[in-house]
Amino acid sequence: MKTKYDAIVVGAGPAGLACSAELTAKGLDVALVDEQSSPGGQIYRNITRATVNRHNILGSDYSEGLQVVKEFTEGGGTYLPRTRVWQAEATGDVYFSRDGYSGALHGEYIVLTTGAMERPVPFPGWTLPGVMTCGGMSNLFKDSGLVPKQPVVICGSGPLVWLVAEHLLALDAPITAILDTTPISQITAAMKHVGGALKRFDYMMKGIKMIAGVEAKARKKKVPLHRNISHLEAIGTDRVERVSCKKGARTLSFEASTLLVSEGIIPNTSLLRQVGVKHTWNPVQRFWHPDVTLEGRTNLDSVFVAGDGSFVHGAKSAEYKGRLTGLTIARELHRLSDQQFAEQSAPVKEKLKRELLPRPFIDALYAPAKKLYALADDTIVCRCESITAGRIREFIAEGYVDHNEIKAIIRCGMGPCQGRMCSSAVFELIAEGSGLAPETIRQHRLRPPIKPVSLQELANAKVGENDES
Amino acid sequence: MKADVLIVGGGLMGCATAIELARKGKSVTVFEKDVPGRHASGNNSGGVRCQGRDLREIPFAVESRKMWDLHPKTVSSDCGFYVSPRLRLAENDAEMEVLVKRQEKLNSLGYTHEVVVDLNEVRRLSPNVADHVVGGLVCYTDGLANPMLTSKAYAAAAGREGVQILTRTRVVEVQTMSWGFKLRTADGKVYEGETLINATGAWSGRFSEMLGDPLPVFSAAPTMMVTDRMADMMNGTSLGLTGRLLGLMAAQNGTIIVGGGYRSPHDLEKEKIWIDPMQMTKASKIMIEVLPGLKDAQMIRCWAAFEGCLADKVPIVGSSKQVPGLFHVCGFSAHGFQLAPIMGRVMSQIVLGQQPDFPLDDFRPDRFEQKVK
Repeated sequence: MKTKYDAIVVGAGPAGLACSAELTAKGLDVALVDEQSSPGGQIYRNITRATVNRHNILGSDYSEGLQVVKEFTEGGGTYLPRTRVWQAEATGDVYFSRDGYSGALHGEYIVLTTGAMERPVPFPGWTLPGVMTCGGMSNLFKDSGLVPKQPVVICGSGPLVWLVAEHLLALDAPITAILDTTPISQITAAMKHVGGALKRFDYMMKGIKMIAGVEAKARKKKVPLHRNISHLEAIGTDRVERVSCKKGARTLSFEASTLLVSEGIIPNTSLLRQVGVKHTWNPVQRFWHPDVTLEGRTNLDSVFVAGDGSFVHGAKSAEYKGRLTGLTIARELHRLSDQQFAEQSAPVKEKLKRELLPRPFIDALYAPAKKLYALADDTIVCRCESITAGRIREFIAEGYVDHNEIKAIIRCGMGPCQGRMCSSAVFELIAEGSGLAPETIRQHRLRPPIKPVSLQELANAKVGENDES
Repeated sequence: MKADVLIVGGGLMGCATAIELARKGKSVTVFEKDVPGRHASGNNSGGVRCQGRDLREIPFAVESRKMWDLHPKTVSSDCGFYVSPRLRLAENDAEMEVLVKRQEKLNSLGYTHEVVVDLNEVRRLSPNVADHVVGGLVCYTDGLANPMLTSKAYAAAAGREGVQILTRTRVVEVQTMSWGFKLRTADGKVYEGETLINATGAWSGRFSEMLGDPLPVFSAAPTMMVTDRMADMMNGTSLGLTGRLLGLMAAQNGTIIVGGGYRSPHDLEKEKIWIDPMQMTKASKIMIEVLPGLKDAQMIRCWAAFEGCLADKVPIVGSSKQVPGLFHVCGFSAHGFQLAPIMGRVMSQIVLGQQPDFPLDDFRPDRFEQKVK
């Protein structure tokens, strides 16, 4: 297997596909590495194999992804599916597992297009079987057409909630409630950004239509739809049986064997943090975002980041960011003159700018509500090690203000997910308990492998051995 | 600001020494450039091991092991300690002979903590070891502890004894005076003391140069790994090998902590470690050979920490021959964790001009110069 490339691109979503396509179009040697068995990332998951019916349900926003997949495939770049990257270094080395062995690739540049993930927010009962994310549900449908047959509740805040509600209503899934947790106050706060957003009237109308469509269909099907919901709880013994929540002073309760939750989308920064990309605290999104320029540059000369992994802006923006990054690297490798770069990047930048117009409005509207992390003491925060908020608060009260230290003592964040599910919540608990400004709190560190690797895969390494030190 | 003793380095050695000195009536200030437990003290593999130690360390390790049981009294925390017998496996007859000879040697010196065991006892202790194993040497009293908890407990105990621990305080200049030492910290403050102790771990080579008493301590980044939970795989027994690099520690939660001498490239100035994934592949191969059931295990995480090492792999503990009033306690070469309690005691003894519990001749700071001559 060839191991040296001009660039290694990690993640075959719209950003990775567009970036790889741009690079191969400039005659550069690219390997596009991805965990899934077909290209598309999460947003265009399984796009090349989905049935016509699934395309119809998911709509044109999904089917449009075929363009960028085709562009990459016809460009002839190396595509490595089912390949799980578990470590990368600024030297250009990328370590992976595939088909039962582990190995290393080397690129003069590495481009991390790791996409987005759902913001994990603990709540009572979130560890019960039957509780999953809206994105997870969407993936099941894209992969295998799976639709819940038993009572399902959808609860959360953000476009994904409405999108999944729209799909499940179209598929006649037995929805028992649609619960919107967006605080009313945030609608007011978002209105100051509405002017910019309205410059993309088409985009805003699409969103408004989608929500109106869900409301109409829910009314027709007598599915209760509630807004300004809080205190979500999943109740059940072996799996979720009921869902309860509060609407003002009223307690609502619904039958459910599946609860779909979503509290917004955040960049998936695990690999970025492991490789050493600098991050900055974003007080609106309440998340550490990587420091990435429009052209994908980071603090590390050889490491570029593109797509939703840099900041969640959606599929089209991800594609444009991927293209700009590809063009930038092509210039670095002297396949484009400065002038050619300027000519080719200008229209992409223009499209990206247009695409970003509604974002400040959407980001303000669906910013994580601070009360999201007002966790009860008995709520489990670390799923891998079953550590509750109360236990973590005990340590914070003793003066611990570093997740890394708390982890070393009580193991929250020490399990297989390496804190992917709990680090935001632990961070909020530290900020709450210590009174420290979030940007001054030490970030949770990530160590390789960022995902578990089997010992057998490691033992079967197809790479040379280093000298013993 | 003045104190009797200035200790640079707030890791386990610095804090252990500070506690003992404070209990003996000395005023002590500890300078820690980060926070206690940030480096090797708080991020080692947690092995509390007498098994397999260099003979020069054995008297210290055996006494120190007793002190681990007293931690609830001495530092108000059990430090997460629990017994996990440490079994060193012989993978062939030649290795078995090495183990037999070691036990004979230890017995001749009066130590009985390591015992040669036959295959039946090996299998009782560790039922899942591979068929090629022929026997072993076990220390039944060895165990594991939580390094971060231990580091924090020591720092807290020092604080309760009246030790002033200055965290995030880097010493940038040291002046030797007729009466002692003057230290300047990065924030411009000056501290004075009669006695100065170098407990700077990975930085002790560099720091000793600043003191005018250069030591051949070099930095390293010992690299550790941990698996997912493998219930019953280890049976509570930790494993080592005789002829190969590997230490497998049986954590109480069922995960396996992997150590045993793996190293990663690092930059001490930038405080950056690049974890070398080849260490994982090497360890994995040996792990599956020794415990075939581990082929279904997963590597969850690697970590590394800065440590100070010496060529002869035993520490420097003693007074400087160049600079009166200066003492070193450093260079533990990735196995100092277990020794911290006893080192605190002997350091306090030599600082106070008393006879240490055990002779420190083997750990003299100037032993390397003599070799050259």
